[in-house]
Amino acid sequence: MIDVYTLKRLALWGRLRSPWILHFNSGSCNACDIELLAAITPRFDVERFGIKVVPSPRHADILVVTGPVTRQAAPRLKRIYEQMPNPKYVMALGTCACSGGIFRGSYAVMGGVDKVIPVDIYVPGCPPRPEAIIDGIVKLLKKMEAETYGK
Amino acid sequence: MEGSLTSIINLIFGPQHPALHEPELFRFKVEGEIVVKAEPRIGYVHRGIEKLFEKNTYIKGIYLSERICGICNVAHTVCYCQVVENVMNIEPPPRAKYLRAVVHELNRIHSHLLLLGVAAEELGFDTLFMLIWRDRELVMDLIELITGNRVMSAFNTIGGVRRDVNAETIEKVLKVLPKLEERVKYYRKVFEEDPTIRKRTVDVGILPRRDAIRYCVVGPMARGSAVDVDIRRDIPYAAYDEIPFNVIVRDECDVWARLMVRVDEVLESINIVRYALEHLPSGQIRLPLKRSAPPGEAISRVEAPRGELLYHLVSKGGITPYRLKVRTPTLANLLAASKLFEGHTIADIPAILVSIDPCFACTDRVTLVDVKSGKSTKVSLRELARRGRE
Amino acid sequence: MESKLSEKLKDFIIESGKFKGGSEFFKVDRGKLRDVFNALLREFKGEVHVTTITAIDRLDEKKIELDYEIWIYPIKKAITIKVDTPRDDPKVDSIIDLVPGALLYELEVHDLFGVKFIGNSYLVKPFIISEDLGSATPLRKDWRGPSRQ
Repeated sequence: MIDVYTLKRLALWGRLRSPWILHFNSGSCNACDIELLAAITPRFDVERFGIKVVPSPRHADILVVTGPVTRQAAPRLKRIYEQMPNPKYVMALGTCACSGGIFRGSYAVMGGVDKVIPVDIYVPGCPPRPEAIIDGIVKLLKKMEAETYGK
Repeated sequence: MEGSLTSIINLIFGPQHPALHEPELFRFKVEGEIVVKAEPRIGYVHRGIEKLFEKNTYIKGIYLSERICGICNVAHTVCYCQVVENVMNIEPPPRAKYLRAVVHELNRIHSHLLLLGVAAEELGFDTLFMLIWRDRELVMDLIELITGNRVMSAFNTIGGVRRDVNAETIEKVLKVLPKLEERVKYYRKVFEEDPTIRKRTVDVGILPRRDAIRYCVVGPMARGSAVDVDIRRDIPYAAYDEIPFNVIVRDECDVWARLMVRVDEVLESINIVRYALEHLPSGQIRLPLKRSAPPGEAISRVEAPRGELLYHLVSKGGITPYRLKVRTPTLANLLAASKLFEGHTIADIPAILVSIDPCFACTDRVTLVDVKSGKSTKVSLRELARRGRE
Repeated sequence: MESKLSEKLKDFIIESGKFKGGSEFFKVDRGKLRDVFNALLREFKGEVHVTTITAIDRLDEKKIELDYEIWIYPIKKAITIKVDTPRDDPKVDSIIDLVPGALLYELEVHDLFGVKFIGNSYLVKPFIISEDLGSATPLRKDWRGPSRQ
């Protein structure tokens, strides 16, 4: 007999060792996006750590948002966040996603990602290097671990 | 098909799809497997940049123009600095012009390799995608070496460039280039001979020369359709009037031709970088900074990796522009692209889309039908790519 | 070649000049825009490329200026055709039947400046700005931005 608690721990163990990422561009200039893509290619190769970029929000553990949130993208971002299963984590990648960056104050931009959905970790930089992105994910995993086992 | 047992369905494509990393939506009307009509909807990345230019000073504008598009950022800053220099009546020193050409071409190599990698992925050739992106890191290292950053170079400034190169740097760059050239020549062979790639791209998405002119396409897309145009040669800027290079034009007019144009352009760009660094004039790299511009109007055109980029500046004096218009290449190619889909199967959509090298961050700089729930089918690009493989 | 071009268009040109840094511009009457394009297309056998349409809101002159940036393939030359339209009722003839590639630029100018292109049946609003801004024309100088929520 396996009790629910053990099953839960098993799921969390799996999640910590292979977090699946969904990438959403909410109005970015593509710089952060190509650095995120570079992180999955051979030089950096995050897949060896079990980090995988998935195409559907329903499979994802971590939502990585790049770019300031434009007025057009805000409802879609919200919808994608709602489609993700619990527990879900959000990473704001790049200065624009953290605060709106250089586009702050434009009529078409709402501001940072935290204006629309809750954010768990901010990775500033314009764009952050792939190393910084990996570092951000590792820090987020520590946070997930602390939330799970710490209490 | 008469009497219509098959009905036309809408295939909604986006705005969140993982392969191109940009939120854009295409609405395809499909009958069975055949696309009868494609409508692009742009606007998800509209950030109101043209209005922001009017609020910011000329100096801040450099950094804003760079962030119109992260992939072709050097083309944007070159074009912006040129248009402001025209209005201010200043001419950057020759060394700065050569350095601009060097970084501009390195940026083009990185952009083209990026696209070729993504194209390989869309065609179902993941190994090639990984290999090309591995070798792209060589270029990223060179860009970092010269400019100090991998992607956003912040290299150009009004009246010149911000960083100089020394003999050591030049030597390092010249050492990497042959390595890169060898790899790209190998990829050229792959793109030319590999049956997977040829089957998916030859005679797909044909854009005849006449249509290419009528729909005003630019860049590699025009040159893949036998339109002989290259701003670097036709209206020389930076140091391109002194650097010898060939303009690659192909007349096959299909997806394959557009990819091959890019492969060959990478090889040309490597030669340009080599020539420019070997013939680098000495002297200063920038003029003293001017903050305000006299009244006047100027236009600047630049051959960005994706095609002709245009900035039109209206100044009424002072430290901010009165109006700055940016025309980016993808917007020009989008209309022709949506015509290209017609008559092709759903499986060909990713191949055609990738051949125009869409950059929607550019397109929406000044700004998809809403994803309708219910009857329409949502399909991600990756799923489409997968279908194409099956 | 330059003199030849301005000679060909001399019936239409109101004013001509040069931008700082080189390229030429010709100002033509609003009603003659299609004639200019017809003349250009005839002269160069259709090989005329419209790079973009730049709209400039000249608030103090109460007009919106449209600059058709043109590239002519056979002679490898860039020119600009300028047209003025009144600010309170901006209207100009559409050229999409002559140069289909101009469609997206007309849509863009219509969306951001509210200029109507007569004969263009594809005009939609909003085109690139977000739906909640609706009928706004954000790039006009007197547009004050969306109300703060």
